[in-house]
Amino acid sequence: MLEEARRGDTSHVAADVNARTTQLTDDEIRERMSGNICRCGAYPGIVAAIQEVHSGRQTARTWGFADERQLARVRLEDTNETV
Amino acid sequence: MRPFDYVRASDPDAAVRAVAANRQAKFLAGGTNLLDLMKEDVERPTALVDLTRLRLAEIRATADGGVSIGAVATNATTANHPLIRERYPLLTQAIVAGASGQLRNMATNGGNLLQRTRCQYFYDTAMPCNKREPGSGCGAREGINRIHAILGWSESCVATYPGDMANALYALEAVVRVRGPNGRERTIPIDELHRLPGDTPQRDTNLEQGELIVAIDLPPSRLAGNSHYLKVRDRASYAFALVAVAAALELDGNTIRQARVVLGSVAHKPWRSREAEAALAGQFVAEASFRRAADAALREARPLQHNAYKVELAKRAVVRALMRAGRLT
Repeated sequence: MLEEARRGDTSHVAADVNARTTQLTDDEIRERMSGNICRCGAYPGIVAAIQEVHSGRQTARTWGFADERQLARVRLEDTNETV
Repeated sequence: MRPFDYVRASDPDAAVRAVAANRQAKFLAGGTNLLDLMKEDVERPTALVDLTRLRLAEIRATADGGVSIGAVATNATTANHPLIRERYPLLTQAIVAGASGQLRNMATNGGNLLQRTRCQYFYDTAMPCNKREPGSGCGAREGINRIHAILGWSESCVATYPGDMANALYALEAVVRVRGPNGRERTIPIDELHRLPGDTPQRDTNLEQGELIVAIDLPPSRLAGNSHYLKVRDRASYAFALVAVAAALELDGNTIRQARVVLGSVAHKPWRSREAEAALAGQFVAEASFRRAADAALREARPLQHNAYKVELAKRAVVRALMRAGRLT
C-alpha cells in the first residue's frame, strides 16, 4: 500500500484523481486498507501503525500507567478518594 | 469440487476457438468473480481458458484522440494510467470506487464488464433463479429485494448489474471490440453489450459463446472535464452500490450543451437516462435543472417491496453527482 502511494496511485477518497498527493491522511489509509478485513477492534491501531511507518513520525496515542507519585498528586488536587 | 480442464491460451484466436467449441468452457482472466461463483457451485465450467498471458493489456492513445484499453489490463493499472486519469477522470473514479485494492490488482477490464449479478438468490443454489437455472422461478421477486432493480426488470428477473466501471464507460460512450470464432473482430457500442432480463435473464450480454472482448475503445470526450462518479452504499468502502451515478456535462459558459447521466445498481444493466440528458440540454448549470433531470430519470421507476427507497436515493444521487460535475459543490 505504501509503495502504491509513493508512486502516486489514486484512491476513492481523493478529491481530484489527478492530484499526485503521496502523503496519506488517515482517511486515505482507511480507504486503501478496506479490503483487509479484521473482525475485531484493532483498526485504529493498524491505521496508526501504518501512519507511523508512512510518515516516520510517532502518531499513535501514547500512554502509560501512572506511578504512585503521580497518583498522589492527582488525589491531592482532586481530593477524590476513588482515583 | 467439480473437476475442470485448465488451458493457457497462446493467442486470442486459440482462446476463442477453445471456448467456442465447448458450451461449458469459459474464459478466465482475473478470476475475481468466476472463481467465487465456481466455489459456490453457481458456475460449473468443464474447462477454463486462461487469458492472462495474452498480449491484450495495452493502454494506448488512438489516432482519433481517444484511448484504447486492453481487455486484460487490470482495473488498478487502468485507473492509474496517466491517459485515463487525465482524459477520463470519470473512469478512474468509477474504477477506484469498486471492490478493494487487492481485487482491482487482479480484476481485468474485460472481466469487470462481464461480472455477474450479486443477487443473493442467484448465489444460493438452494433457491430458484431464472438466471442460474432458466424456468426455475425468481426468488427475489417476492423475496428480500432491497438491493434489486427499480427500472427495466421483468417478472422473470429483478437482478441488477453490480459494477462501477461500466457505468462510467456508458457515460463515455465506449465501444467494445470483440473477437469471434470466425477470426473477425466486431465492435459493440457499450450500451448494447448488456441486456435487460426479459424472458432470458440467463443471458447477461449480447456476446455469443466464444466471443472474446479484446479491447474497450474510448472516443475523445468533450464531457470529461466536468464529470463525477457518485457511489452510495451501505458502508464507506468495499461494498457494492445501492445506487451509483456517472454524470458528465459539456458546458458553454453557464449553459449545458449536452449531458450524460448513467445510473448503476438500479437495473439489469447500467441505466443510461436519455430522459435526464434531454432535460439537461440547453439548461443552466443550476440545482433546479438537475432536479428536473433527476425526476425525468426516475419517472418510469417501478420499485419492489423492499427497495422503494432507491427511487428517492437515486434522484438525490443524480442531483449531487451533477452538482459535483458542474462544480457547484
